[in-house]
Amino acid sequence: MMQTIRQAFTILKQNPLLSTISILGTAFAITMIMAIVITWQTKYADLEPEVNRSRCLYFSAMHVQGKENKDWNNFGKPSAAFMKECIQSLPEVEACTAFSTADVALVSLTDGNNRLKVDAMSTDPDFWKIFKLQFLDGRSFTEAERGGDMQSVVISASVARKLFGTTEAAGRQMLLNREVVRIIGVVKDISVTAKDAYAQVWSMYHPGELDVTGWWSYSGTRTIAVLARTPDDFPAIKQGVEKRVKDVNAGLEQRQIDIMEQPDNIVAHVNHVWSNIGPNLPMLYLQYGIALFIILLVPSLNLCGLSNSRMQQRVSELGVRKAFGATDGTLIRQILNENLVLTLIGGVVGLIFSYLAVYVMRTWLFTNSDNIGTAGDFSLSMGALFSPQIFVLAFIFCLLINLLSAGLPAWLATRRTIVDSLNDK
Amino acid sequence: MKFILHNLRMIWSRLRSNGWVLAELFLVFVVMWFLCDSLGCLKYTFYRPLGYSIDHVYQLSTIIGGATSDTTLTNADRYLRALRKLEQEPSVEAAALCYWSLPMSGSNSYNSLAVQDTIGVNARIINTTGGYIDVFRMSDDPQRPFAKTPSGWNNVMLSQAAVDRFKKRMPTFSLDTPLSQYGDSTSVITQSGKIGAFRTYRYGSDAFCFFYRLDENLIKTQYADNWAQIVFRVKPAADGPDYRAKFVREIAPRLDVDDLFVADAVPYTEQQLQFEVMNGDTDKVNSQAIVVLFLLVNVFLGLIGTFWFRTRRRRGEIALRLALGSTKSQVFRLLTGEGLLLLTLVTLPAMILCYNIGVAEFTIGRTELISTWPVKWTFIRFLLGSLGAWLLIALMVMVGIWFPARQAMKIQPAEALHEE
Repeated sequence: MMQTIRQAFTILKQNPLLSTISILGTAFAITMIMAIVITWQTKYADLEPEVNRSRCLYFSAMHVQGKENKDWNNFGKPSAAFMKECIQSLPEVEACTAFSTADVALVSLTDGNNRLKVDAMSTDPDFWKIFKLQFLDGRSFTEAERGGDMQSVVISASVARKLFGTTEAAGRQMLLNREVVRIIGVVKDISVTAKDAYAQVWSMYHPGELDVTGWWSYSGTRTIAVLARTPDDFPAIKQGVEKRVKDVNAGLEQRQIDIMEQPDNIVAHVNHVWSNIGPNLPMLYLQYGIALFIILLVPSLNLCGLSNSRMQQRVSELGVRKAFGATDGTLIRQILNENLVLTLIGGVVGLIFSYLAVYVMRTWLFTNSDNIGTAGDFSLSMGALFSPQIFVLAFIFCLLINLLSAGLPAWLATRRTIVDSLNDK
Repeated sequence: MKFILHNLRMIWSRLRSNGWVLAELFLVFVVMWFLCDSLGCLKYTFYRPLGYSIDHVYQLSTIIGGATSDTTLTNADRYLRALRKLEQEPSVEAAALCYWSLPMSGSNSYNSLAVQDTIGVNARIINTTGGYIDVFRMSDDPQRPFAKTPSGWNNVMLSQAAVDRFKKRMPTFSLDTPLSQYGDSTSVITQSGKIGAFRTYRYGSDAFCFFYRLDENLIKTQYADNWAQIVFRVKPAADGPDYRAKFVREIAPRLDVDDLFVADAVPYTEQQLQFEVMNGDTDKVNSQAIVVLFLLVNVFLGLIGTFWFRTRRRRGEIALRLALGSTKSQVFRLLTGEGLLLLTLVTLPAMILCYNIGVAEFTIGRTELISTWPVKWTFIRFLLGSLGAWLLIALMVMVGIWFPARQAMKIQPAEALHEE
């Protein structure tokens, strides 16, 4: 082990330029791959405050169509009433919430001072069961507070500081779009990378939204997140909702509702931009596949060329070792091990580069249809950057690059006969 | 010629060590062609004239909420009053109110109109007041301006693209041809003019639209409870980076109508960026540009690596050439010639592969891979893409060879001969 490392460093020092090139080559490949992985994690993995992404199903589009006249189409979003009628009562559903996308609103002190433009959303008490936000003061709203004389709202720490100069604002009042509301909780600011949970002010929608008065009640302005007990219940929930939709349609006269291919899992949900066309997942996966293929293969070919040149210099050394009885396997393993030291140095450099790259490009990487134009920060979750998964994946990709870039040249080199090798032909 | 043959022979004799770099160049060329083609088409579309202007255009963020003092007001009344107040503002050049009809916005509605009942064209419906054309500086016929067209859905103005589509399907089509609702032959819709060609957005193709003018009466009766969108154009002299803040501070409070108030005036360029993000164009351009950069860096590293060893092994040969009277630039040309020849060797087979990818019309999911609409696939487009790829890689080849070559040529001829 130590000998391999010492040997590797000797080779490294022998030709600093080539070593730099192969380390940089590995580093850039790892940078690209890890930037993709980190972006993927931030968008789709269970991260605070969206800790239940892997257990959630989502509805964000609703299609209403004429029963006879199929040319009559309306594509929009679902409503809270749809959630209540078709989802809430299913036994597999642990919790479900309907929320709007964060939209501009005005808040101020009750006397009209400290006017602020904020991103506000309206939702229901179950929101706090599905998304875990850190409360600095007060608590979340519950069913008891819905529909009273005065609305109860939760605000983010930055809004509380700008309005009151402190985060201890629970119990105070403010104006939200010119209406007096009561603040019952203050949460830590959340990053706009939390596509669904992000807002600066959370209020409750009117309970009247849950009532059904006709087909139009199913079409609304909300996104619905459904928390299943385990992902294994997804098919049962899908079937359950489809059955409920069928029942609802049987009771409607002129129109019928259509949930298209929903519910979406988290990957489909994040890529579901338009209400009339679903996400193009095969294309998404293909793009990732091609990108990974190119990012791995091009640098590997590069490094192959380098290792091959280096092999040619060492052919006589390999010949001698073979003459003294080393097998091909031993030699290949030795070369791979030596090369691994270089690859790992490249891997560490690459991982650091990828953190920098993701940080610098975060606005572009995480801008989506919901958070564009909002006022929040694109802060990155430490959980996504420094999780054990990231390090394990980086190591695996290093091994892969190592195998691709040193394995083949080593195999070619060991195939030569001893006599040829010794004569360095 | 002799030079090239000489180089070819040298490459052949070192095929073993050239193999890796050849394979890499081949792969990189194919990918690079795809990216050059795609980015070229996107950028070409991006810089084509749009047909309207959004500079100095703002959209109002209106909120209806809080205490109301007049319960007889409908939403339509509120919006119309706000619009009238906005038009009175000295800094505002033009303003318009519309329903799901803004350019570069995701909410829209479609319908089909027909001539002779059967020839139908589907297009986006633009329901708006007359100021729309002035706000976005679209071009209408000064003889038959949109602002003077009769209100309602019995009079329509087609966009140029819709007119062309009709003309293609019925050559005698003109502005005098009467239209009807598709599937309803009893309706008669008169054309009152047309709107000059424009595109949906910067990465989009020509827009198919039916323009209907709304007057106050129609809005009050048809859209009493709907949410409207209000846009306005600011006089260039009055506009500036601080206009938005000034508007929210000074002008917005004057626009209050009962419980309707103005929270913000958003520059229309933000809407444009948002639309481009939602359509995935921003992401596409950025990620493809990054992959181009990555490939170029790799070609550079690969060639430095390969040629470093090669020129070191050929130190003697290079020194000999120098001793026998070759100038440094001649030797340098010999080496770069070798690199470029390597590239040219892979170019032809790679181009054949690329061309076949191009004409194969692959479709993945719902997306066409190559026929990057809205630029038509032509041989010229293929050649331009290939040329772009070749030039970029060639540049990296030259840079990658330059450094090892310079190192190799530092050697004193006498020293090298001594080594011999």
